[in-house]
Amino acid sequence: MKPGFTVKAIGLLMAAIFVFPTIVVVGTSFNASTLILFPPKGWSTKWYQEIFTTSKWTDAFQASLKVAVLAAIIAMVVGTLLAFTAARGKLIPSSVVTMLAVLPVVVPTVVAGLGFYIVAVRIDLSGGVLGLALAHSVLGVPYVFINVLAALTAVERNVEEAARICGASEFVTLQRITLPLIAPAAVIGGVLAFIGSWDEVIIAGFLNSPTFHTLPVIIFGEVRSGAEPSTSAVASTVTLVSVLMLGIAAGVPALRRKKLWRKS
Amino acid sequence: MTAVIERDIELLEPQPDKAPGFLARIPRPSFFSWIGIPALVFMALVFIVPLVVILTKSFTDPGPQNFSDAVNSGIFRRSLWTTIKMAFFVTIVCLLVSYPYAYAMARGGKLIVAVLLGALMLSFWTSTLVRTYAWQILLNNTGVINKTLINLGLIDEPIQMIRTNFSVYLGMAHVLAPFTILTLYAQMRTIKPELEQAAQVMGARPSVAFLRITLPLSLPGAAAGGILVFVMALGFYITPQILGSSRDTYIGTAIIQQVQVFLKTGVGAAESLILLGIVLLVLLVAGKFIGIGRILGLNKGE
Amino acid sequence: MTTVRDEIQKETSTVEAMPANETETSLKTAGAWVQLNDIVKLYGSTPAVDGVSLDIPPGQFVTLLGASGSGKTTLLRIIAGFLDATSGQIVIDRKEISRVPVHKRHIGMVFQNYALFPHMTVEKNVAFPLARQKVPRRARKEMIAEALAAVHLTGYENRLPRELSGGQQQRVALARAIVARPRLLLMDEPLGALDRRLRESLQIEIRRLSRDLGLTVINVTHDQEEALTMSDRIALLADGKLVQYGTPEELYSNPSNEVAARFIGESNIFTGTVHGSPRGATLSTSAGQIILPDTASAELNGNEARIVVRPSAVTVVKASAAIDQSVCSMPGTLIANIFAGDSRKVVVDGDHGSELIVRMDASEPFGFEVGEPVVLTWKPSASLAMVA
Repeated sequence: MKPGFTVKAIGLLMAAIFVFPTIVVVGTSFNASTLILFPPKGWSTKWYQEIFTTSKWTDAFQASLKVAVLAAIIAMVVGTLLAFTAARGKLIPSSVVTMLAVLPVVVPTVVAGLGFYIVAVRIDLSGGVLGLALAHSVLGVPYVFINVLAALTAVERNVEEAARICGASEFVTLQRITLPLIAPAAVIGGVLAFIGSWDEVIIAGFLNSPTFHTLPVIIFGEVRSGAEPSTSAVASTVTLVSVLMLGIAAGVPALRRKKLWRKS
Repeated sequence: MTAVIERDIELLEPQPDKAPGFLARIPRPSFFSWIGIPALVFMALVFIVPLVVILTKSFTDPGPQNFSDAVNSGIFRRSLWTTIKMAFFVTIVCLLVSYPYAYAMARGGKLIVAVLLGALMLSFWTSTLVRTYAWQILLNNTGVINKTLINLGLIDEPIQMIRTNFSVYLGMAHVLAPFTILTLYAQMRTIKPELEQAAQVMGARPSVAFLRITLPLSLPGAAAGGILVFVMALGFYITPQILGSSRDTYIGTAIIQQVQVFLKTGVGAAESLILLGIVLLVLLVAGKFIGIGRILGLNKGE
Repeated sequence: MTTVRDEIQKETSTVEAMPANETETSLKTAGAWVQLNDIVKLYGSTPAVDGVSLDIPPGQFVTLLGASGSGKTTLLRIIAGFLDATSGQIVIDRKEISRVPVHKRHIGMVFQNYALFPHMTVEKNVAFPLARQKVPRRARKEMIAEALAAVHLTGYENRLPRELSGGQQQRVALARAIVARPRLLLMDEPLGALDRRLRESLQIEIRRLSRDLGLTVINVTHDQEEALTMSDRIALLADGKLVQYGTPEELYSNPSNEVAARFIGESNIFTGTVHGSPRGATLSTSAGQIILPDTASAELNGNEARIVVRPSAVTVVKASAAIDQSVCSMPGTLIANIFAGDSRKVVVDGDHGSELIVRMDASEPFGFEVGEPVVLTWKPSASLAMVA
């Protein structure tokens, strides 16, 4: 049954409402005026020039990037190991592993943030890249875990057995067959972990210091105290990075598939 | 035939036993069992330890009276009520708007699906903070909506939209609706269109076919999405903080206030535990009926 | 009594004496001699394989045939090394290999769902065993080309598995299984996922290839037709036990018991008590007296026995026809006449509740109506008597 006209119309209206806020933020970032106006009064890229030359923003940009990359890498490793244990291990029941791996989704960020804050202050990891990256990596683990677990379950046992009987040891099978097969899922999980960290405000707010802020923390501060078009420019840049990362993660495997197909 | 085999086996030269028999018989500890241990230790150290620290703080800094302080605090008690009310309304709004959207996505043509999915994803991947900021721009007294209405001559004075329940509910629903839409969409995709067609062939009007077939079959998805959104809304901090009135304190704000303004970490820890307790309780009770995996099964990669 | 082994030696030598066959290739190997000795596999206390012994001479194509749960796949996986037998020996070319890990057994294997490496091209898939066995790079190219030529897939080197049809994927799997010149090839329902026509053409092709290469093949299937078409020998398994091991002809014409008779081909089976000594002995059944074949053992006298009659040995005659006393006859009512292309299947409701099947040549005229009373007749020599 095709959806009727009313349903479609409501759907499209909602789609517009979904997209509109993003358009508004991007639009206001091109204001020529110092006021946040939409539609913008006069077009200018001066706010982008400002944010890419002011050390307040560039430092935060670097901090955010370092934290997010480190968090994503840790999450990829930890999440993948947990997925293997949940799918293949016999030592610890997979329900326990799964529970531990997805728990960060369940715990409200405010609660986890407070915990990270108390611990980080005590062991002097607050206000730096490492402390925040560790905290963020844990939040990214569920994304990697769920994706890799799904990919692992999709790897047919027979494929690994075929490798074994072709003469590959367990280790070579893992290296040449299983890991390449789950790699795309691990990368997608890693990108989700990256974006999770890249956008995160609450924990980053708990663990910041006068010299260490990430972009979302500064944006949040400005939004509360009074935003400027430069805030919109930063917000737009942050969003663009997220969307680009996801596009690459989802698009590259598809492109590679096409290329291989053309070669033959 | 067996006689033949026995004779042949007897002909075998004795083979040197390379691996001692008793060692070979012990099942080797699986490679995958132990590679997970460092990861489990990592999760325990980085995630469980902070939660345990909150627990100890709440009972020892300065003592268990943190819980009575939290419960007796008027701000916290009001914040509980405000937050639960907000989460409830936001869940209802999310479910209401999700049905037409998910239905159009599950049953629509290629073009409409591409548009709806694209819009949903763009919105989903714009961070909560940025979207909330956008609503601030839109709903301000000098914001886009008020200005447009004044310019059109529909109103003389700006309508107070920001810092009201309306702005919080709107912003929260905007941020959280994608979760209910995606769970509902996933559920509706499992309902074969032939079922509705069969109902229509048997004389049901399209609306009746929807009400009698699709709606009941999609309820598990709606329930899972609704619970997820409800639980997420309980812990939200950013959106209520930016779009809400300073008179209305939400749980997240109350906790951060205790820690950062009143410097009572112990009370903040106690309040955190109460929030976590409510969240876990809702998840466990709901999980009994619809499965915890179904509620959490949604991930942004889908 | 000539042993199985002697017979096989005769057969294999004839095969080798044959003139050069169509794919004369360096893929050719001497087949492995596989002996299974009292293999038992227990799951808890339930045996999945229950004391199976088999002697598979070099170069033979042997099919493990059985219903699901008969233990045939478990047995194959034990030979491959994916499962450890609870007890028993696996001897390949006089070496006990139970403790040899899978990847050192140098066995080729084809899986039901192809099990191709989805992220590798056809060429890389086929190259995989060569790389594992440290075949020098220079030699690989030619071996891959040869293996792909043997399965008629030359030119598909750069395709990915998902770009191939099911039949093509199974050919790639076959090429990958034989490229490293194993002496033993295992096949786990290799044709199970293919449609009927493809299955039949691949049956012939696999059979030809295995003969040309000279390797020993152990094939698992539940499809008796496939087993009969492809195998030198069939090992029929039921409930983890070896029921019968012999050539397709032996299994069809001389099933050792009721299980074998029911599994291979269609059968009409009568149960009753035997009266009289070998010549002229009869089986008293609820459906009447049935004359035993002369070959029946004298020991059956006075015991419960079964008589198996293949549907193709039975003739339908009019109820009024005169019947020779030396043939068996059974009255009944014709209840179905099913035209099946080259044959015609006739179902007759015996007067005593049994349902009997007759197979006849479809080109013969059929002068009976459904619902008509008829008599079924067959020569006692065309039937088979066995202990119940």
